[in-house]
Amino acid sequence: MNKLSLMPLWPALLFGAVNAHALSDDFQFQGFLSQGVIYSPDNPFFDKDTGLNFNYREVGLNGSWTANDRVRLAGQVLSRRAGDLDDGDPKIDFLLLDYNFYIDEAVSAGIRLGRVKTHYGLYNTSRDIPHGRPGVFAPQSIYYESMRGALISLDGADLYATVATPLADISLNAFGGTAHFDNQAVEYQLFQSSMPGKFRDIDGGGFQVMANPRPLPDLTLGYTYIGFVTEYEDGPSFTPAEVLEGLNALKEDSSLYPLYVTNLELEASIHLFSAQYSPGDWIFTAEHMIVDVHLDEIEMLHLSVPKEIFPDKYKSKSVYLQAEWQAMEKLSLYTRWEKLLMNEDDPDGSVYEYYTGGNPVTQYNEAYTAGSRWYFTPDFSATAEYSINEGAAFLNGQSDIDYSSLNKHWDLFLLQFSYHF
Amino acid sequence: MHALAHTLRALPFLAWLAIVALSANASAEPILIHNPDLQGEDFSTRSLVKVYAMQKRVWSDGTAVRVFVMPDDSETHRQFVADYLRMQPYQLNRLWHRLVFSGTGTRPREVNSVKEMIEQVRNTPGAIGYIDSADAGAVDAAMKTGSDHE
Repeated sequence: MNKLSLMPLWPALLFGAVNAHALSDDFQFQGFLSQGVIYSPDNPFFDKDTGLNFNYREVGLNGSWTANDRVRLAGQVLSRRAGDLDDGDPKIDFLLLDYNFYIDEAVSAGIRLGRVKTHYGLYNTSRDIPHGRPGVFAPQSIYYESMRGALISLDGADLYATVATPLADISLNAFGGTAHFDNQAVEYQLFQSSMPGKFRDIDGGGFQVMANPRPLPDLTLGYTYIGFVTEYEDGPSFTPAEVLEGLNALKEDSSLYPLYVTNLELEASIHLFSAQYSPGDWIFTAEHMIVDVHLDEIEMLHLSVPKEIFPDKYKSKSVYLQAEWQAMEKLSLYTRWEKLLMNEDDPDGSVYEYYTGGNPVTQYNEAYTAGSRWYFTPDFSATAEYSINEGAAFLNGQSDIDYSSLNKHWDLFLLQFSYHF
Repeated sequence: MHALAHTLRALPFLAWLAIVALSANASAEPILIHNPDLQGEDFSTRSLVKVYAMQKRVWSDGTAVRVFVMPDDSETHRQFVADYLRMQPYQLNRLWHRLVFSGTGTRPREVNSVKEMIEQVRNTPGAIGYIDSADAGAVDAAMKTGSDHE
């Protein structure tokens, strides 16, 4: 099914490879392909088993039409296979009308309407572009897979402006709309299991400010705020007798609780601080994210759940530090340290384990990564990286793995070939 | 006396080195060219980086910026990016990828020959590009006011 649905893309791809970049002055057409080789000996990564797999590939086709200096249409179709987190079916990654309604030498402002990429941190808009991200993935501590669908794009609007002031060059984005996210990944992120109901599409919005100070133009400082809300719908309903049965079953095995959730509202506020300094051949990057999670109106078996049993408010925190070095024209080297705590008050996952019976190592992840990218040509590269991990929160969201058997210490080897045309 | 003899013996070698150095330099010395109407614009490295990163959208008189490039693998392109933008071609390419594949911008227009580059820059309002200095004779002085970048 997966292969079949990709078939219509191939003629377009071949056509694109021949006619890359420009069909005429006003049309641009381009794309990219990537294939990953994953070796994960300790924990399953993009596969239900440990070991070697090839379940990571990307195909992107992109076109734009510049109608005039103010108006542009742009769109992209993305087929992404990422284990069972993304099935490879082609999706509209973005499709937008860009109207640059004001422009002079110091100020440019406009609006993008349609499906727009969410301006979130330094890498969200380019996380799926092999040559746009620093490594095989954007840093997982902040750009983690299970939240990808909620944050990747919005059906709505993005107001943008760039302003050159005497102190700094500033760019601003304000956006809002609906996100069609992957339910399965969010259910597995929150509950490590599939649920009978589903979360409805997310209503979200936020803004981003990025500044390059005049005296230090190689420095970028940024802040992103995003708020979103979703509700659990079409959950099960229980008769009084079934409620009693359910309570007894929960007493025996508390990990069954996701099956008995009857009502839930999820609200999240994300604060993301970004800094990047890129003198010459070096790029130093740091980002720090705080997610305020609020689970409201939680009911199990139609009974409200006391806050002592199920924390209704908690903060996720993550941070990474990264250095990239363009060592030679064709070779870049990078290294990164990163850390993610799903709940800052439960850094070792013990509270989570106590109340849910879940595997505590899924509640945190610290990783050291070293990698290199070799450009065979400006458009064709190979990226290889190695990570040492403690904690397995980066693996959350996968629906085909056994969370209870995830190891605390695990290594990951990644190799990826990427081609842009 | 002895030292002088040494120096004299080394002279042909030094002369050869100088010739090689000069000819290598002359064969890949890019110069910036622009539409003749863009007199007095800011062609500093800082400004050019913004132009080639597709961030600077209009010139001071409001004319839209039109950026032209040679293919990625051309020596003139590589030298231009290194000399004028103080970047590596791969870094610039990465910026363009990020722009295009996020739907936030377009990449520069690519030309396939020096002749096409000169014609496009001469005839397109707001245009900017570059050529090898060996071809500098083919463009008017009014198109080369930004070529002194040192």
